[in-house]
Amino acid sequence: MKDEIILAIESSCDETAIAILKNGKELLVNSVNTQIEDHKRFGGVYPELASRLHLQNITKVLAYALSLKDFDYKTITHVAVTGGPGLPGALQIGAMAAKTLATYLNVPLISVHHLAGHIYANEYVTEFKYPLLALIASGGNSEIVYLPSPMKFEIIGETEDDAIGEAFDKVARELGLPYPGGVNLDKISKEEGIKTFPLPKPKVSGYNLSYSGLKSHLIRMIQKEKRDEEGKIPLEVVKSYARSTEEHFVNQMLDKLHQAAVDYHVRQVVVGGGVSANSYLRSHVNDVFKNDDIEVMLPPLWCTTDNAAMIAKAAHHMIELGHLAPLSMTTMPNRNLEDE
Amino acid sequence: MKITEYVSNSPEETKKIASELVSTFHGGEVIKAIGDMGCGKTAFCQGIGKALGVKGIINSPTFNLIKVYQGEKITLYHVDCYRLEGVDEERKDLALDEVMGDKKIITYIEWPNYGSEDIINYHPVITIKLSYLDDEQRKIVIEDERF
Repeated sequence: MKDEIILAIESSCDETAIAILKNGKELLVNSVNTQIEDHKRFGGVYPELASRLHLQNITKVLAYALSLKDFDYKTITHVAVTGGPGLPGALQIGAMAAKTLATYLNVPLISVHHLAGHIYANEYVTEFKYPLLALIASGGNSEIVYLPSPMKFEIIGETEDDAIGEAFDKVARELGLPYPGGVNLDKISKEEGIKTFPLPKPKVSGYNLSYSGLKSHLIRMIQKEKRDEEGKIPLEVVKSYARSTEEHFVNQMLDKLHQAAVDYHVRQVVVGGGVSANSYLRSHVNDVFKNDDIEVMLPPLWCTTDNAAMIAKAAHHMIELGHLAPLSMTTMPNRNLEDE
Repeated sequence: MKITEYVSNSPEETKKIASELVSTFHGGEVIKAIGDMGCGKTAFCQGIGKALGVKGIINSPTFNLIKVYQGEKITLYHVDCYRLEGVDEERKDLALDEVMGDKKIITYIEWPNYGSEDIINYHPVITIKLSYLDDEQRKIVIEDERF
């Protein structure tokens, strides 16, 4: 049988990325343009926002992907692209490039939901077993998604205000920790014996989450802390905040995840998104599920950031299900995962 | 310019004030929300969204920069420039020039002062200034340049 070769493009937010996936398994290219020089200049902090930058980057990553040794671009059988949600201008650049390629190569186009990509990125690590529960925890997302079968999504829980990673970053910033806040919060809270203090439990319905009230509560507590002559809070106090915040935020999420997994009788739980790198979450998630016959999967970090490999993986399943997009497809900045 | 002051005793009251403001909208309004973290900028936008008939949850756009919601007749653009603090002007371009003022769109912008010149110089706008009074209460000042 002819090989299935998917070229996938992701440009929904900060990154312009291209991947080429062979037969749903073999990743030939996974290229993310991170504008290394510029990032150095800005300390790796700032996002690639302007559509114009995506426009510059896309030709670069595309040229790189297609210059691969022993690869004939004419063997591409499908072109996939992130169709939303995301920044309207950024999405359009990716879609224009994808449509042009699909037209030129005369191959079908697939329009992939960004979060479907994040969930299916985990399949580079493990084959999914349905029904399955996916937790996406990052700077921009805090969602619990139920998948009864491949590419069927039901968002059963989500944050009612801030995403967990965003709340971590904002508390860390108030504590005076350097960027990236959430990562540094995690670093200083690892050692044994750090004292923690209780925090209020937000009232949230069902499997939903809430971090904004807790974030505000913590920020106001931090603002009242005693400081030295340089305006710094003693390190022991900062560590106590860091550890308390981490435990409290992660426990809220894992409690809901566990309850949902039991209620929905799932066989597998996959945890994705940047916050899945959090050391407390990683050490604690198996404790939470220790008495259940549920497999818990934590992906390596490369799977959790924006890339096009995940879009290719989701596209592979969409091809199996016959979910192709017409060349007239439009990008949807507010695309709903449940409409897939 | 019309200036109105409120004291809100809860997020629910903040949302109600927002929904009263929406009753004066014709489409194309641009709202800037100013206030410290935890003062209710996103809560105010949730009130606007509900009044526009947005179904589902409106949550923070800080990371995503822009979130778009479909109301009954009007589309809501929820923008957050928090991540743009200190970013070069050319990198701040969120391509909102064709969005702001569009009669089918309401644009709600948090941390507008970190945004591009396009955002900072746009008029007329409705500016919502939220400030912290105590754990429950917030002061809300609405400066409406349409009047």
